[in-house]
Amino acid sequence: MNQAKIPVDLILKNIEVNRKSTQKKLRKATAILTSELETDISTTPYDIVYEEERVKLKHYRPEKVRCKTPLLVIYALINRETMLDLQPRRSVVESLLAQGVEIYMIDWGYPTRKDQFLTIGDHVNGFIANIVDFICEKKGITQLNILGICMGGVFSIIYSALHPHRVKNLVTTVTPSNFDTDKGLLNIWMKQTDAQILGDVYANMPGDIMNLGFLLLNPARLIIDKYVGFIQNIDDKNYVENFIRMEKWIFDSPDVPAATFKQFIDDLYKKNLLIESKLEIDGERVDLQNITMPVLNFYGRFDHLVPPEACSLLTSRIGSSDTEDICFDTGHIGIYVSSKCQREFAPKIADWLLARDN
Amino acid sequence: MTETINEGNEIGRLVESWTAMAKNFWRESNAHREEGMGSSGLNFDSTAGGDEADDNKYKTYKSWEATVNNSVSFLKLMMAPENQETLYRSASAYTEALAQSTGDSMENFIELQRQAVKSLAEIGEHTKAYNLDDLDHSAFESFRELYRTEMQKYLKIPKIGLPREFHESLSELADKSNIFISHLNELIYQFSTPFEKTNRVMQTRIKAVLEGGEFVEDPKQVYNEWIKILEGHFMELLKSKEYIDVLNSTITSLAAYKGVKTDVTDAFLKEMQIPTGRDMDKVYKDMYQMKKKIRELSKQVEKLQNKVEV
Repeated sequence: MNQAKIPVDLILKNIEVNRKSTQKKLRKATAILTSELETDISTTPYDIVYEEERVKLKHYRPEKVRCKTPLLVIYALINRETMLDLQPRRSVVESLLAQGVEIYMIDWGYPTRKDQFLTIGDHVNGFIANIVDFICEKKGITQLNILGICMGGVFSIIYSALHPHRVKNLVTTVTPSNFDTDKGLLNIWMKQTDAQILGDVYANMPGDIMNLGFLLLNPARLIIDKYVGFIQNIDDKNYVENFIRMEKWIFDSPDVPAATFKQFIDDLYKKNLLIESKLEIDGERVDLQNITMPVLNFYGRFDHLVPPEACSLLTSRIGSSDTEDICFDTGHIGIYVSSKCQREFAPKIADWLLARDN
Repeated sequence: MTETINEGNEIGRLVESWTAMAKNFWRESNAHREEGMGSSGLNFDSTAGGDEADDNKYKTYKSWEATVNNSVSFLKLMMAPENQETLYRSASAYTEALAQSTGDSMENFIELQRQAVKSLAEIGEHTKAYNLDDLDHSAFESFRELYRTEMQKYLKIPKIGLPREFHESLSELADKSNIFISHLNELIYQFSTPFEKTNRVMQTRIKAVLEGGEFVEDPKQVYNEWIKILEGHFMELLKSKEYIDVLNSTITSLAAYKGVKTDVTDAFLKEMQIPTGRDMDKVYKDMYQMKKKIRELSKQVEKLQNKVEV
């Protein structure tokens, strides 16, 4: 064995330098953490225009309407729609409003034990259908545009297939439609475990357990490296505020109604019925060929929750001939919050909708 | 045999002297109690008189004396030389039966202990980097096997009496909790392996750097390398069949444990006349179905109204 040549003098010199810089950093960090921080999320003004049980409909008005057809945003049941309006100048809502798009956004609220029997059908043919009817009646229109996000994208696809006459244009973002892939860990776990029984056990699937599952998709980065990064930048007020906003959003996780959770895993993750047009909702088959309206489909190349393989098949299986796929070099959340995507994502949606707004 | 008889007589004498001492103790303590009551002015037996009063005063002592006398008579009879052989044979039969019934369990226990120690030693050994073939499942399986063969059967002993059902639930709760904890421990162990493997890789690299006389000035560089390797190990682990099997066992055993825990909680809530979660679930289900029915009927009414208007 070779004798290690440890440069003790260099190590000691480094310790001294680090000690001084750490002291300085800690003093600054203490001042920042004990000061008033701007960490509010979802600050863009809106009105609640419709309520049904726990579900609310937010209405955002642009200063000048350019797109005549309003856009209904359908978020997932996992986490909350506040992610689209995380902070000023980093907000999809703000960008779309600036482009002249009038937005209605569903806030699914926090399901309680009484909501455990709500199925996908109750969300799609119940809440969403009622909301679309409400907006159409209010605006005196027969169709509107829909933007679906992740699980909300799945609901949007199902709604568009079951009620195509109500949808003028459909935008899906990071929306899984093909579950027959082993590219994402979530796909592997959901297919090979009996996770759906947790829905029964807890009445609803607890948001915290789901969040724990998402953290375990990449523990090194999400449980360790993320917080190491925070400590390293703790003397940067802007970084700290952004970090806390993201923490507020990511750990704000409503439970998912048990019946919906079980149906999602059994019919989609395990049986992959949606992309095969074999899924049945309230006794009616969800035929993707019924989706004849224009479809814009976004997904992230580095999305570890919904890999590109889970999203890219959709446009080739639907009845529409006006389709476009856009793959950003980002992950599941980056598509909405990264600076680069902020510049491209919302403007692209607005332009695409305007081009199809007669 | 003679030795046994002598020992028997010794025990007999010991019992006799102990009973004599006990008699004195009870007689004296009763007498003191009477004195104490007298001095404090209390006299519970003021209405009693003569022998009847004596009987009442010493009733504890007398009852105890009768019991001891009976026991001593029985012991003396058992210690009599002509009964010693029968007694000895009977005691031997019990000992043999006990040894026989525990013999198998002990053998199993020792074998399982041997396996468990071997497996635990393997857990302590270093594992190969980026290789999950050496994840040791057998240690946890040995413990579960030990639990199933040697402990679970005691929890499954049939319960009797009025609180039978509740005792059964408690035993089941203990059983499901043990099984869940064993799977959870295995899952936690699996989560520790990427750290162990990463540290092993890093130790080798740092050793090579030091032997080369180099010095990494920026600790961030070392951290970045460590986290990258750790991420790689986690990715290997999280998609492995071994991990998914353990994850699934943890989920199913958690579900079983939670189910029984709810049974036990429900029993308490029922005692307190508080509706249980399951009672409420039935109400919620009825509400859900009624709402759905009302919505359907409302739509039908609306359609009919439209038809009538047309």
